[in-house]
Amino acid sequence: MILVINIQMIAGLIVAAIGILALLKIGSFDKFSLDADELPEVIRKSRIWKKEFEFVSRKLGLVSKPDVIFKHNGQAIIGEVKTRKTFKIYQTDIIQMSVAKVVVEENGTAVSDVGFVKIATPEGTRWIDKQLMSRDEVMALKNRYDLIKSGKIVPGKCGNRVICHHCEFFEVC
Amino acid sequence: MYHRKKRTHLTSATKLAEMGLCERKVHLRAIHGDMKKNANREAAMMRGRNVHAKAELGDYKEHKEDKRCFIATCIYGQEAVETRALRLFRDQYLKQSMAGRMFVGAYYVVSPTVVKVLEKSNVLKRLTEAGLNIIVRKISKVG
Repeated sequence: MILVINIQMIAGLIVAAIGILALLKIGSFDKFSLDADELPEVIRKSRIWKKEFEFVSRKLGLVSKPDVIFKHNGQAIIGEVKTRKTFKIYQTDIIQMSVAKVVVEENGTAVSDVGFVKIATPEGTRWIDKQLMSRDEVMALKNRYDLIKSGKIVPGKCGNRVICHHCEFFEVC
Repeated sequence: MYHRKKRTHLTSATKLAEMGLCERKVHLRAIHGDMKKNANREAAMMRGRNVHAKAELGDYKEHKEDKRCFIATCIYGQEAVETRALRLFRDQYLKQSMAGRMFVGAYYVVSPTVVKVLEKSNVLKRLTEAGLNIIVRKISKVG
């Protein structure tokens, strides 16, 4: 009997702890939609314009092949598909979509400043919208890329130790 | 718009995106070229390619849904709205941080025992249900 009461007490405490922790966390839960699997409204209203289509701008020296480009009211919307363990967006995604935006614009199509990343995880999928970089920012990045590649400036270090550890250049870095 | 001629001077969006991750990688690639990828990286790339190949924008049926949510399932049932809300809370909030993932991991270790106890005690079950109702209401903004 004593053992049963103890187990019940422990179970009750665990449930209470879970409840309290969840309540503490709920304050910042508002930003997530419960209809996460649904398409964003702007995407739902759009049609797919191009899929895996390569755009080239020789003038800017850039090439991009976005996974999908939607069209809504004559404006292109860049979309990327990513497979991840979590619903996380990285700076690389934003740069990738921003380059696509600049190259598509260079080819004469108006492009939305907001791009969408579809993240597929084992838990499901979500579309996440992100503000893209401006043309000037992309070109500044391209210039920096060229300078780093040619060894004219010292490159910055990776800020993430996990990514660094899994990098193909870890041994030589 | 679309060219396949000389492209050596072109920088791809993917290569430029590496700048957001590590600038040193760009420099090292310029010196050493592409290094051999390890098995994990190859497997991840293969997974990504498969998903891209199967991509029907709007759906990803090949991904299994993690339906574990032991206590909520015991209280509300497997496919109840409340269980789904709690699962989404787990997936979209708790699993986004290291602390949250550790919490979920610990929860999965203890919850089967908790469920066994709950199934034997109606009082505890009702108390847990009351607590969970508050959480679900807050999450779902119902009521």
